[in-house]
Amino acid sequence: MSRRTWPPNPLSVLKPFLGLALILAGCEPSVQESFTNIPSKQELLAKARKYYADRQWDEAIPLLLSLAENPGPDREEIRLLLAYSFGRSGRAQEALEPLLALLEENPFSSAALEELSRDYSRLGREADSRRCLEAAKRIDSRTAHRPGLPEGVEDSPSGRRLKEAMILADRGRAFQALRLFEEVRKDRPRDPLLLGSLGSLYAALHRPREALPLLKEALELGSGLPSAPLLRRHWLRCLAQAEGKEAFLKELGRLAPELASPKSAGDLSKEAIEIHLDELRDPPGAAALLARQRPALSPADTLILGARILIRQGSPEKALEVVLQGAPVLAGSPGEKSASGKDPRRAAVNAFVKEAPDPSEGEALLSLYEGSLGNAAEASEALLRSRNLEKLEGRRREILTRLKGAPLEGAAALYGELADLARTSGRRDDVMRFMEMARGLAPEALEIHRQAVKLFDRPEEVFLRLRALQDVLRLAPDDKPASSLAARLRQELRS
Amino acid sequence: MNRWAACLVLVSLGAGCTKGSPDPRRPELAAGPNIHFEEATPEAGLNFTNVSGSPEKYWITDSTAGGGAVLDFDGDGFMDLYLVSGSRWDLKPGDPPPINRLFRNRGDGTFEDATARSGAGDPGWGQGAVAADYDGDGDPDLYVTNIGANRLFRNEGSGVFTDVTSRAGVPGPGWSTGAAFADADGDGDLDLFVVGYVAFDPRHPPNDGKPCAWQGLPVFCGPQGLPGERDIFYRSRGDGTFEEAVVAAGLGDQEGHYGFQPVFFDYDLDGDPDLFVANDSRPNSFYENRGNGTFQESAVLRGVAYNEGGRSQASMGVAVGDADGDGRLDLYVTNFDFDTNTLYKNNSDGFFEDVSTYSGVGPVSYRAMGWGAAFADFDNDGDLDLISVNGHLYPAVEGRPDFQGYEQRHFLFANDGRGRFAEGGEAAGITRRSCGRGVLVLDLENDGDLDLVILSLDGAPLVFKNETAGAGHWLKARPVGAGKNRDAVGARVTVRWGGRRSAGEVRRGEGYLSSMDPRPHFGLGAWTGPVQVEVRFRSGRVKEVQVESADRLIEVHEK
Repeated sequence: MSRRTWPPNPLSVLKPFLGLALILAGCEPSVQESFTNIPSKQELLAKARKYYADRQWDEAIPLLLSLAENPGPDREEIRLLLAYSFGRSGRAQEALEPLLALLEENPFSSAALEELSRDYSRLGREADSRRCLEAAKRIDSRTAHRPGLPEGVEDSPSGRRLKEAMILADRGRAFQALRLFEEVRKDRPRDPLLLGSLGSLYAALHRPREALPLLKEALELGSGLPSAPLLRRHWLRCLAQAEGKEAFLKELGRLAPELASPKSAGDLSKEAIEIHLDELRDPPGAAALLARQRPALSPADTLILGARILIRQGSPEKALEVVLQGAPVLAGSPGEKSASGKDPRRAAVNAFVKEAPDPSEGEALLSLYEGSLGNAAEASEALLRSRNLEKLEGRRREILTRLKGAPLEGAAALYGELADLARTSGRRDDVMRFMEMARGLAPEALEIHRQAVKLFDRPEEVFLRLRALQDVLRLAPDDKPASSLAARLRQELRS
Repeated sequence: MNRWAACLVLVSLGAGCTKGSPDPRRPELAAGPNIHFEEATPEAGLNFTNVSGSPEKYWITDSTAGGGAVLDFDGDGFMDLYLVSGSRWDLKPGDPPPINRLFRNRGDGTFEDATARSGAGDPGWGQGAVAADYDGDGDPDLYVTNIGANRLFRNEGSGVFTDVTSRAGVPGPGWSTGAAFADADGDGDLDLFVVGYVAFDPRHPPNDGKPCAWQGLPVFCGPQGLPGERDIFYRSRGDGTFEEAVVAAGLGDQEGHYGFQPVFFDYDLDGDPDLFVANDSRPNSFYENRGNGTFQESAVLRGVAYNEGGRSQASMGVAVGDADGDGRLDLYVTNFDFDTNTLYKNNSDGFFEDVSTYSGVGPVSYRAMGWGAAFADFDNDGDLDLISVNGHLYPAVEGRPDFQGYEQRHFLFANDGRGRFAEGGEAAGITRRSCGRGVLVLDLENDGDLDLVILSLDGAPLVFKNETAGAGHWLKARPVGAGKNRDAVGARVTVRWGGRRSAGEVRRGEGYLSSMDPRPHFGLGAWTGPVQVEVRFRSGRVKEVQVESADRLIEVHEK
């Protein structure tokens, strides 16, 4: 094996001098040899890995510390090993430094977040520990359920890149995922998994015109894919968004066999009814479809969709009646209720609030329920929230209309606005997806990065915030508030 | 660190004026086990063959069956066996279905079939079984997991079992794999946790019934791409019936993981059982008991969700035991081929650490596909050895030189006393290959050494009697609980002898879809003198007894 590496080990320049010094000092040849054969960085890293595997922390730590200074592709691994070694040898406080440094460079390192969580716990900082764990779970594709990933995808290099793109999409890094999908597509132009994943990502980014041809081709090529039913639902929704009611209904008619099949009818019917409500604003159409497809729907879905339709038709009181009558279904099993001591009627209302895709509908129903109990203050608070959410929804629809007609390259500001709205509506996953999309589309737009600093304000988003601050300071090095905010955040994480 | 400091590091690593001597902190591995088994399959008389779908394994359902339970169903003091069979999709009306079988131990390590008179011969598509005295009437009952409805067989005390599944309310999810009993909420009776695998509908098989590709071979599809089946926690009402309490207890599997085996064990020595669930191809789950019967999921935090490389593994079987003798219970999880089995060391700071490489179990297992496993002291030298059973998933690998075959050899890891293991299964006499699934560890003849029954897919059980020459002395200490938890599940047994100490725990449900000999067993090495036994029961009561000499079975009663 060649010992040459690039960049060359800076210590190698000392070799001749060390050899000479040792000859002069009269040391044994074996000692001279050990000095003159200064190991390369890769050899040192291999040695550090061996010490680490053998749990020889006292040997591993100084070696890893010496290696952690050097930039290079192994730096993330070195910092992790160093932190693991510190943590496992009872030096949790010292483990923080390499982990925090790593996370500033890569806020999406779930391994670092997980270890940071353990070290905070070792130090008794349980709240910080839990926060890091939540952040790790949120960005970690390993914990996400991803139906439709067939076995053997990783058997080829392009397959591995495809998986990486899917992971990026799972983690909310939409822009990077788009780039990688498009790159891999050159090698796998007719891979239904790729086409479907890319189409689904465009659909999640509210780009129905880009999504439609991809989803169509994916469904034609991969009708047997486990994810085909999901792709079909995305296809339907994008069709309604891009081409309107007539095209949607025509397609729905074509899907009659699927709507009659016990295998696919439940999910497909639910999606179609929701599209009537959310995209087409057509409650009567939704009601007719619900009446027709009711046998295919679960009792809970029937109740929730029925209540949603009634709210949209201007009968929220009737919707509340439906939800309360359905309390035994919506509130869980009798065992759960008795064990948790929950009021089943309130549990049913809470279930509706949780399940309704439009949060304003949930708050409207909650307001009525509180009112029926005589809780005037709670009722008016919920009503206020409902009104505000309605306004936000109106604004969101307006932006989506503009987004539909805008070229992707110029859409950074619109995604920024969507991220803003998502934060106000409490849709945290959308905040990350849209903001990261905006940052990727406009990496030199200072205001976008400043907006990200503002939006990533949750404790578990601190590393995303630090990464955005780095971009702000890259573009505006004299931005003192940004600089002091970054310093303060770093200090908080360490102390 | 500056460059000069880096140079100093190099000096400390690379130089020395004398040749290096062995590092005293690095334990030398044991030269090899002197453990010895003799195969006793024909004379044991276990006339049973596991049937699991088609030989070609067209569907995922055909590949997972193969657990069993060790129990003394007739109260004669000898351990009997309940062996589980799968079934076939192509059974025609009138075909006799394969059934699970109950075998009575005659006391000399041979068995007679007691299925017919016991009424426990379930014809469902079996997966595994757990024996536990769920109703506290003094005899072991059986919970059988199936693809389809599970079965709870109550032992009526006369060697006859009654199916009380409906009355008890424990049918399980659609496809159950492992199950485990424990007094999760500390109310004195045994609760039940049942793991779900895949939501499989034979009318709509994945990929329209066509094979999938794996490593260039046509194989059955799944579990990837299929919806996961939920897990269920049944809380005992104390009257022989149960209620679902998944959400209330915080034991909800919201991700729909592909679960195989749950194990209750007290990882933090706080007196209540915590729960580990091995999940196939997904992060494992780990639920810490808050002390009030509710749980907090913390697998990632505790370090048992993934292996050290941060990857989900196939996680089939689980063994729990104090591998390194530090008093804390460690976890061993078996995995797919071209991946290591994983040993998670339970550190004193509340976190687990993947020591698969350090301990020696990882590299050896890399090319094998692991299923059942159990820690046990096979040479009675005072530390826990490890049996780990292998067998492939896909018959298509047979004859391919890059794989180790469909039927594989099984591992016996001998412990060097410090948590490092040397594999020597074939040298110890476990030479027969099979497509292993479960493994049962039990003392067949009550002679004080632990024997093995290896359960195999589409095959007969393999019986190995422990004939280790020069094996140490031993003690079995069986706690007997007061009240409904008569099995004393969750009790921690600590024995002290000659300045040494070992600890074990009473569990029901472990390995691969199985439950083991219910009598905690301790090797004592050369020690024959008095032994102190301390039992901390689930209720918190502690009983201490002194046993005057080794080589005996004692019972320690809570009251």
